[in-house]
Amino acid sequence: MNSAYLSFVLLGFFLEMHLVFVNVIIGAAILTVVVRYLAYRRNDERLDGLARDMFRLMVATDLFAGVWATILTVFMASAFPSMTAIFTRADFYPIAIALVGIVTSIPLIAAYWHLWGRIGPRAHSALGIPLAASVLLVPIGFRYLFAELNNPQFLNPGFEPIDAFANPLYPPLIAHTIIGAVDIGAFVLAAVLVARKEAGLEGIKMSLGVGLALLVPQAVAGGYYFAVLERYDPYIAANIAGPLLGYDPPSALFYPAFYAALALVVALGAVALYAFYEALRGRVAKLATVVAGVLAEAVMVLMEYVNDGARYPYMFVTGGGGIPVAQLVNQLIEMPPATIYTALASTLLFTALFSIAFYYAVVRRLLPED
Amino acid sequence: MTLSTGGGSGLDVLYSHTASANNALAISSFGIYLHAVFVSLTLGLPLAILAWLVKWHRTGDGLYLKYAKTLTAVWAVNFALGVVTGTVVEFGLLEIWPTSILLFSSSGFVPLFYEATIAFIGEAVLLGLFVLAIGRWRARYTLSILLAAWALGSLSGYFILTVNAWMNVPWGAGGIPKAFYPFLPTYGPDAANLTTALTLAALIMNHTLAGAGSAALTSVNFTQSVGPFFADPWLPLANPDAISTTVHTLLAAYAIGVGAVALALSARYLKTRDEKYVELLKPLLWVMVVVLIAQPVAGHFMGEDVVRYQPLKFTALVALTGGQEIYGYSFNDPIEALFAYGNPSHPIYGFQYYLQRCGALGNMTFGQLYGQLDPQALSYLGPLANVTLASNCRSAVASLEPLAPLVSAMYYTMVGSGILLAVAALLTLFTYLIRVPVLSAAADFINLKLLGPVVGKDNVLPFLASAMAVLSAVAAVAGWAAREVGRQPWTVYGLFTTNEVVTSVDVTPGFAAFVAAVLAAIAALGIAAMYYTATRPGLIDRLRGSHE
Repeated sequence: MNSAYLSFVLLGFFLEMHLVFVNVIIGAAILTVVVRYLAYRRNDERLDGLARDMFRLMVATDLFAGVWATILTVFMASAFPSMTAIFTRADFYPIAIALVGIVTSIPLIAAYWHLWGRIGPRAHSALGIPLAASVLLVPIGFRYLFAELNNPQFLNPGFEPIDAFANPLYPPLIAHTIIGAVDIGAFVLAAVLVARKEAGLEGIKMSLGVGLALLVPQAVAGGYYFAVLERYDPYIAANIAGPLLGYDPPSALFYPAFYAALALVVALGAVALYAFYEALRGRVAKLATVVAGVLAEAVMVLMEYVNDGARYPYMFVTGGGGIPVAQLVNQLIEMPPATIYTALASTLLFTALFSIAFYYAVVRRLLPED
Repeated sequence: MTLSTGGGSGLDVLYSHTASANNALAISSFGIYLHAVFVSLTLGLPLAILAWLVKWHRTGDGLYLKYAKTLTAVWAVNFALGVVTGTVVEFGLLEIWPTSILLFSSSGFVPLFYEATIAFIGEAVLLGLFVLAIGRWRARYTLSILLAAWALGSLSGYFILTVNAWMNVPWGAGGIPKAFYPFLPTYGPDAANLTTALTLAALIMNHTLAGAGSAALTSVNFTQSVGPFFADPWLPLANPDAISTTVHTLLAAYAIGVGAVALALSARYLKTRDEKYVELLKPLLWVMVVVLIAQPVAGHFMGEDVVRYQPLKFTALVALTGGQEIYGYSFNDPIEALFAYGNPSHPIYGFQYYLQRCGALGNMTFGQLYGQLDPQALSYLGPLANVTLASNCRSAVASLEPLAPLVSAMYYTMVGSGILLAVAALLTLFTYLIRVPVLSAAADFINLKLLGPVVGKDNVLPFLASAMAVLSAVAAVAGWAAREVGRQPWTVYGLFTTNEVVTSVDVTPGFAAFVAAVLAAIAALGIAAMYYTATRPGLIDRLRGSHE
């Protein structure tokens, strides 16, 4: 395996790990704010409790997503120095927006938690608006980097950093991202709620309902995104859609994953619909709900793999070609394989430990007293 | 653009900060100090928690467990704030100082990658586990998790400080800096490829002359045109300055973190006169005293590194005692010379000495040097081709001269605070923690006969604890300022100047003010959050058991 390919794969792995948690954060944050508002409007204590559960889920994953973001950033700057430098120049303002989102979201999370029940529900619901906005600012900023990769603005003559905002690939990408994140967040939340000892039917029903309802706009956003990709990035579009849609893909590594992801979406829809139907009838379909949560994350992982991997061997894609990964990969040092292996082992070990702790603390909410 | 080949004043574009660089320095300094505050607490608070848990384990007194739990909540909040400010600092580094990406992709790769994938992730997970475990799991499990989390936090500090140390002492650069600045020493083995280093330097200088050196990295051909640069990525971990800097800085962080708790307890005692605060204070004093007595030794080794590897900075450090003589060739300062060279009669060199050493480069120009060693990079030099290496060297020396009094003021503030800290630590040790003939009598005399009448007999211990806390912070702030400002005109000593590292996007006063406002808001909200957490003893139990 050459260093360019290895670096590309590792960057993708760190990105996927980050996104697994980030999507839950975005989804749970938006759902918390919406459900909290509904609880206030309907004066419904059960909904208020559900909003608190969503919020706890978000807080529990927030820090760990931040850890993976650090790993991702460090590796990106290490393995692809000029790509990172291009981002810091071409996407200076979008990165600044994302940073503002990061730094403002933490105090807003703290304030939102602290003031829950201490100020009027109307004021508290209003506080949810800046909270949701701050959380959304992070993908709103960082998704410009992905748009830059697929349609590099910095190559345009006379480019100025402000031009990054005019990337035509960005609107469908961010729409697809945010709807997808809320959708995933809803299904994961339903899975978390159903795995608890005292599963709240109302919360499960609502989470599944939101997840199901968003599958349709998510499919529309996906189609819109693909149509724009087809126009600006025929290379990526061909790799994604493959021969089934009449393309001649340069690689066979991605379109099977894309169709597998579509099949999983259908399965997700079916399983979630069944679980939702059971919930409407007052029954908890535990397995189906958990499977729906797992499937939602699996779809995200596969789709992101397709979205980011399909540009290989290019990093920045321009129409049918691009700037190769091998041209951008770090050649200043030879990355010691031992570093990579120990780092991977360590991250997997601690992720496993986090998952166990998360399961007991958040899902089971049960810790034995000594 | 024309450049002087004589006095070097035309090299201002490399050595005099642009307005954008000054604005960037201001916001980065603020961000780094803010991060350092939170990180110091993150490193120090576990020691205070540990001290109380051990005391609880030994005595069974629930007071210690109760306060250990409260402090754990503060630690968690503080860690989150450290993550936020760390993210800002990390992205700030990449966004505002893009040439620093070279560190990530060369000498800093192993430490930064390990910091993220071993130390940081481990610390975060174990901290979360500890929050779940404290008071619920068996003490030996709880203490093990705490110790592991603290060790990983300290390891994180080592990795990060290793990168900072490489910026101060570029270990593995061998004789390359010396070739441009003859007064500099050799920095370890020759792990850096000479041709690549020259190409890199030419590329970045070229872009600096054109507006921003960091723009060099934005070329999609950058890594290919430069080639292999650093042969041994593990080498920075063995940088002697990394070891001394880590020990000294971590000890300072422990002192600040534990000191903050000691200060809070002292304030509570003075307000309420409740003896429980003194009981809580005593286990912490042990930690502080041990740390503070070890600090002068660690600091001495760090100082030796400055003398050996950053001679220009050393001259700036002694500006206040040397007076105008630092601008001459050499002068005598027996005390500094004794600590620096082990010989009180050893001369301390002034800036004139370094300017004269630059003369060893003769009349060779950049163009001639590159013509001999790296002809392919000759075209990048542009107007620099006709500049002599000697004038470049003199410009570097001259650019530190105006900063010397500031660097020195910071240095002596640190030294003065350090001396007072050591005295306070010894007074605490021999009066309140152990009894040693003669020493305890002397400490008692000072504490009870001299200090007691001034601050009140019952207030001596909280006074000493508070003094240690405040002085620790003063020493750390001043010491770090001396270290970092004294590194000028370079960001990486002898290799890259500050102007070569800053972003090509103009950092306007408005942008700097906005970032400063955001950072100030984080600081204010962070302090408020920690105060809130610290004043609600049952918070952690409510968090863990909410809705049950």
